[in-house]
Amino acid sequence: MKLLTHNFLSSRFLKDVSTGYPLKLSIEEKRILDSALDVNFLKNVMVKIDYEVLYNVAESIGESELLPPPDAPVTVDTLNDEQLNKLHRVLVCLDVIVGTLECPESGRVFPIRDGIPNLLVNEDEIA
Amino acid sequence: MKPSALNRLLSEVRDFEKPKITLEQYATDKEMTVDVINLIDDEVGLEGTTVLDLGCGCGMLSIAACAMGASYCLGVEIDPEAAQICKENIDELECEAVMDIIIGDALSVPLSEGFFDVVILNPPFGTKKNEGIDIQFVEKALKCVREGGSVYSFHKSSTRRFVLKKGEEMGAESRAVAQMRWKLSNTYRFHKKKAVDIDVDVISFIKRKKISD
Repeated sequence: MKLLTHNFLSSRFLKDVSTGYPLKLSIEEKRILDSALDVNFLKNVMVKIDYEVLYNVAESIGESELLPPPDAPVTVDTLNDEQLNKLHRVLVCLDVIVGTLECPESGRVFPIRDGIPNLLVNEDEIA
Repeated sequence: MKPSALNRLLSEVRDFEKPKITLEQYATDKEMTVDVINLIDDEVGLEGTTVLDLGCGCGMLSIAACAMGASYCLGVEIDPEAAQICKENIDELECEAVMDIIIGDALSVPLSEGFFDVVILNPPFGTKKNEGIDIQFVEKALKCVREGGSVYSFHKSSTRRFVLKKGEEMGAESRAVAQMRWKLSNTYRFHKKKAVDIDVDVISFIKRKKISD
């Protein structure tokens, strides 16, 4: 699972959970995928994601170095090559293989195995 | 990618081992996938796009979209076994830098609204028990696609007028762009007739831009 995917997952579908976002990520095993930097893709994506959430999750796993700080809007055009590569790395290349996602409100834990987060719940857990 | 090359690539995609009737699982025909993906690529250009596949199964459509140059593709699949096969297909065909899967109910998992450039889906057609489920899938797809973006979905041709009307009601310019004959022959053992052919439409829904004052 990429951090780009993490950026829009939530547990809002659970009973008594109002936003369920962002999900708390814990990583047991990860890998770095080989992928070419695509600046146009970054431009397309950066205007749509919650950058503060991306920055914070990157920071929580020790990957926030070189990333532009989240206190001001990030414009891809103004970033230097190092920053672009780092952004690309955390959004696309970093792949969580084993870990968990935790609902910030209910504490419900969703497993990530083989790189796939499992958000299935029992019927009685759904709002 | 040329259709012949795409066809060769998709011949490597592994299918459902034990299709589940409750989920209306069946393998997506490979040649048909090539035709549909080429049609979508001609219409919207998949290069560099973000793509969502609701109910991705073993990933046939998604992998084809990746092969056509999509930059990011997310598959949502309710069946963990299908998701596992999909994951193996992704790794085998080296789409892992582009594609992610999540296991969840496509209709209830919250996804980023207006994020995706293109949404492709091969929804369950619905039975007496879950009538209208294909329309619910389209509704979810229209939430996730950006304004001006396209949803491509498969529906029984017999429901065409209804599906197009629903699409318009949900704020999308809707039209049938292709019709195909599907052979659902050997998927389920208890099908009484040897081969069950159905006519299926590919429907395109373009999400209308909101008019600002």
